[in-house]
Amino acid sequence: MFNPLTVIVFFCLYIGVLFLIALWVERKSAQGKDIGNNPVIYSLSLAMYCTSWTFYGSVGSAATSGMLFLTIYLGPTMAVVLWWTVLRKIIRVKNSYRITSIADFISARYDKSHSIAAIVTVMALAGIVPYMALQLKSIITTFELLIGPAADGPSSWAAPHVGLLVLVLMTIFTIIFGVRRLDPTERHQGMVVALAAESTVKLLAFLAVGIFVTYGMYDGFGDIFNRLSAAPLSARAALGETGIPSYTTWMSYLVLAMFAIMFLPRQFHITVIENFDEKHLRTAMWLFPLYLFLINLFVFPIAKGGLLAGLPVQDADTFVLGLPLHAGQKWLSLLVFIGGFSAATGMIMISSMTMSIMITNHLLLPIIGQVKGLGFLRRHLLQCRWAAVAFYILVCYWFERSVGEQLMLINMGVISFAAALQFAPSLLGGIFWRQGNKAGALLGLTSGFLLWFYTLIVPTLASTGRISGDILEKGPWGLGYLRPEHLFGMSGLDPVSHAVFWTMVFNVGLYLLGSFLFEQTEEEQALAQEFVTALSPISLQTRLVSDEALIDLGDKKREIVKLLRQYFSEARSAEMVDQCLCELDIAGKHKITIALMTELLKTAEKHLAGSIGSAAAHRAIMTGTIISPKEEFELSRMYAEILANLKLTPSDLKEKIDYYQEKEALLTRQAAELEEKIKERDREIAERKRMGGALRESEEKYRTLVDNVNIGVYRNAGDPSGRFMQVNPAMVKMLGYADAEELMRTPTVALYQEPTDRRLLIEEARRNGFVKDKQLALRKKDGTPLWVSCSATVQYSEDGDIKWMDGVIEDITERMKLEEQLRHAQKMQAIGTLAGGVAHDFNNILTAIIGYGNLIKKSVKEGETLRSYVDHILTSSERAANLTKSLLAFSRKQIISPRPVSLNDIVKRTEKILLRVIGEDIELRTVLCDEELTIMADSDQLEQVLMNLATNARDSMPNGGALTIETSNIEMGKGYVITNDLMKPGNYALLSVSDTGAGMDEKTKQRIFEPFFTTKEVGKGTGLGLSIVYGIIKQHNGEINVYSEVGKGTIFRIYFPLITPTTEQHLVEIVAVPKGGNEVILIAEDDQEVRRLTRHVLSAAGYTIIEAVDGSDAIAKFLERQHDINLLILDVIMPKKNGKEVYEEIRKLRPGVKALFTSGYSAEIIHTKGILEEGTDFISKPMQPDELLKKVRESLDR
Amino acid sequence: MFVFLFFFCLVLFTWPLLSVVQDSDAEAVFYYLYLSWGLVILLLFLSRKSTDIKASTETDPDKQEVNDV
Repeated sequence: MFNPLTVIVFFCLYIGVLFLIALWVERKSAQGKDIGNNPVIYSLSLAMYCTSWTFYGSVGSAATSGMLFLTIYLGPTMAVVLWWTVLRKIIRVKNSYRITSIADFISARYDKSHSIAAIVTVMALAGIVPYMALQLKSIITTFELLIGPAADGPSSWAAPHVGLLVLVLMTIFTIIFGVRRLDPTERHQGMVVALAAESTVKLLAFLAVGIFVTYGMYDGFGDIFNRLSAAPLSARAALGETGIPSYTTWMSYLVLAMFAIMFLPRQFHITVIENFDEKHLRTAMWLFPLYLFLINLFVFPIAKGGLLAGLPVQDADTFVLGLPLHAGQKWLSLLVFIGGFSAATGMIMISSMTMSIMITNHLLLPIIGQVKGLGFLRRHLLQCRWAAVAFYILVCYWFERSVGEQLMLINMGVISFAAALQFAPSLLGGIFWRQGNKAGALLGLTSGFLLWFYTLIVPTLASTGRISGDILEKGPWGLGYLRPEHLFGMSGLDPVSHAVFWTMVFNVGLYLLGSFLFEQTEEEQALAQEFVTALSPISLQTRLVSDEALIDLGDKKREIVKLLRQYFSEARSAEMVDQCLCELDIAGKHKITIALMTELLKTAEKHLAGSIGSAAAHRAIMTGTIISPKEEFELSRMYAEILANLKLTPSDLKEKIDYYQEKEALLTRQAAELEEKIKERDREIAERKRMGGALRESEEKYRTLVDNVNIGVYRNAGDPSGRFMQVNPAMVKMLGYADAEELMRTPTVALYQEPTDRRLLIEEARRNGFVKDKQLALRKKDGTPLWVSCSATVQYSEDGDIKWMDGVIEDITERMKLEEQLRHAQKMQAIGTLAGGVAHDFNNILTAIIGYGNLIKKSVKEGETLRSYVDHILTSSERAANLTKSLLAFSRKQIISPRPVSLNDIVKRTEKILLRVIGEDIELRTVLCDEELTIMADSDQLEQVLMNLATNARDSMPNGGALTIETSNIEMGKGYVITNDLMKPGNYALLSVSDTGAGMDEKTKQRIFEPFFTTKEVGKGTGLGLSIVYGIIKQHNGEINVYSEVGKGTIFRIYFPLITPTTEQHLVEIVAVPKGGNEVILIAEDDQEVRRLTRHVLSAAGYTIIEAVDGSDAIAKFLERQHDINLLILDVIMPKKNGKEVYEEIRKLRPGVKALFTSGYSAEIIHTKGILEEGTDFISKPMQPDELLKKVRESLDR
Repeated sequence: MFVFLFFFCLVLFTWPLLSVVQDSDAEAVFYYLYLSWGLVILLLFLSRKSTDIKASTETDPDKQEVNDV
């Protein structure tokens, strides 16, 4: 025997170990690791079914009733076969409705009836108390057995208190691990795992004692059975029943056990509420029966072994512990005690936890709801639950102390099983029969409970003497047919079968009757549908109404419009509803889901709130008729489903909602910030795009500019090769290359006419960092000279070398030509000025020489020697005069008389003369323009031009050839390119004179118009021919170009501006002998010799001469004899006043006075300065006496 | 499958088959019951695969509902 303290220490240690296991599991669970979520642990926890009744009571039953005990385990095995259909459905419903207990389950099925829940709770309370008491009894009994009988031993102090000790420990353990939180739907993994550990311990303990008895005390099963068979008939009674006592009892127990495994509140809790995953059932369906098999394997041998060992049959409940003790197996006994203790405590903890939940939820809360003074308890519901645990265990302890002494374990267990059976019709009917309703359930449960109490509890109380035993014999009030164990006269059944029969008859009968008689509400129908079809995939869709569009959208639309019309016009209301539908994108739908309907109402509420405020809008929507009761129910059910699926308590849900709302707000803020950043980024991107576009546009602009500009743009390397790195099209075209690549392949130095120029350029660039307007002589690809103006900047490398040069070059070849032309023109102008000045002075001299020569000639007779001398003088003077005349013509200072003339006529008129000039070896060809080419020109001058050109042509064709004179009409700037930039665009008469002579080289060509330049032999040419041509052309505002190739010939192209054709005035040359006269003539001449000669000639002709030495003198002399003077001969250029000024003054004195101007130099002044008017008489120096006389006479006669 | 097994159990563990065994000695009853029980457990163990097939043909409401939520 053990010291009580030792036993207490051991089971306290055992409780401590369980506590640590539970604590560890809970902590793991808090870390997210669910140890309890395991099918083996789930299966072992189900073995809580094997309570001390199994541990001890089965042996007791086997000892007295043979194999009957086996029904308690075969029944669950048979029930387990149906678990995949039945229990899985219950688990699914539990998950959907967050079921907390069997009372909650049955209540939920039947319209969530509080009455049903309360009845079930009371039934469980009443039915389980004996069972709980049974557990306490087993602990106390075995404890006492373990410490031995002690009338006055050390055990005397412990035995009475061991029950209390167990009670306290169980209460604490249950509260800590079972009722720690308010939410009963939360799984209690710590407790479940501890339960599984207990199941393992009790199995091991039982197997240990079974093996010890079977194989230790006996030689196995065969030995025990042999001994039983060999026992004499007289001793058979003492060995108890060995077979099956009664098939009715067998079946009754079988049925009770089948339902007890599911409907005992604690079993329901472990099997259904604590289930993590319905798939765990797969393992439990074979592992749990195996457990039952193993733990019962040695029940019969132990029972019979105990009897064979001579132990009294009334102590059969303790054979499991008694046999080891009897055999002196002290530690085995302690192990058995711990095993039995495990079996009992597991059941106590779970049952008390389950019952506390049921008591508080279904009894206390309704009472609190009814009694206002108890309202404060709602805030202390958890503490109430703790109190319920303590209270319930205490009641069980009281029951054990009061009644337990008189009952065997097996009897107490069966009573509880029978109570649990009463739940079966309502529960199974609820999940398999749609028509089962609240009324039927109420009737069935109530009748079953009453009959259970009457047929089982009353006989128990009577048998223990709590009530009179007469009721068993005579029935209440002497009514024999109401005897509890022979109700309605039924006999032949054992009490349990009797009770099972009548309770089921009434329970099932009234359940069916009530269900048939009373109608289900709509909610009940929905619930029934949901419970019955929990496993059906098809009905599942129906069940999840929220997923199926069943609500008529048209109806809802009309309802909402109707509601809104209370606040708005019909049109506005319809518009608002349409807007709501559009927002939800359901405008075209006919049916919507409950969830969409909720969204629709919410949207409508928002719109309405904008007008009447959110509170009023919510009230209007919720109090309206839009949501039907059925829809309200579906809505609440939908939320319940959501809650159930989330596996959250409402408070947890609220916390999560708050968290997610906060998170949503945070995310919204972040989204807003992100949106702002995105907008900012978009702006940046747009700005970059714009800048990129502007850059591209700028690049394009510059590229286009560089590509299209007429000047060459380039980049070339600074190395000796100077290859181009980049060139623009103008550069390529300028240098005559096909494309840029070809040019870039060409060394830069190859482009220079003088390679040293590049070296000089590079040196200057290196020195200054740039070159500007550097004129370079390049050559094109074909060798054509090209003058360019180059400006470039240098890009230096880090070591100071030229990395590259960026530059532009401009083609200045034409400009150079123009400059050359200009220089030529200026040179010609200068020469002309010089020649003109010389000619002027020569003319004055020649005038005197020729004049006096003629006078001498007239005074010397013919034949005299002097006369021949004079003739030579005059001849030479004449040649000198012609020379000065040519110089004047070249210098354009001769007097011309331009008139509108036909160029063709001039050519035709000159043709005969030219034929004589060029000789017979040269062919003269004239190709005249069909049009009349009228130009303003002096015919004589043009004839002179043709003569000079023909003469030159003849000289260039000593062996003969062809001289072609061609006229044409051209328009400069259109059909013709302006060959000379000094010419203005317009219509010109082109006179081309070409020969097939020797031609001339470029150098000669540049100088042909210079005076006295000749390629002829000395004495054969004056070098004035082309100079005269040039002067005449220029004096006629024309241009002359020459094109010549050595050996091929020369072409002169002469351009005259065309004028409108007028009739040419052909002057009729009247050749007459100069006549004299007697008029008075005033001669104003600053050159004394000329004045004297003039006077002499005119005086000789009879005229009266008045001489004046300058302009002022002329006026003075005129004033002296103004009425006598008939003609004024005025030198245009005189000191003090020129001829024009003199003339103007005299004309003022005597308008109409006649004047004849003379000049050896004054042509420029005459024409450019407007000294002489049109029609003014003029005679140029040197003048012949006859010519003078002739002019004087003409002037006087005019 | 399970319904068949249930009725098989019913036949094994109730009258009249049980009465046939009952006519023998206690040892026979003992062995019959335990062997039958063992057989049932074995069949349950073997038939657990059929629950996989069943589960696959049925919609798992938990998963369905979670998806719905």
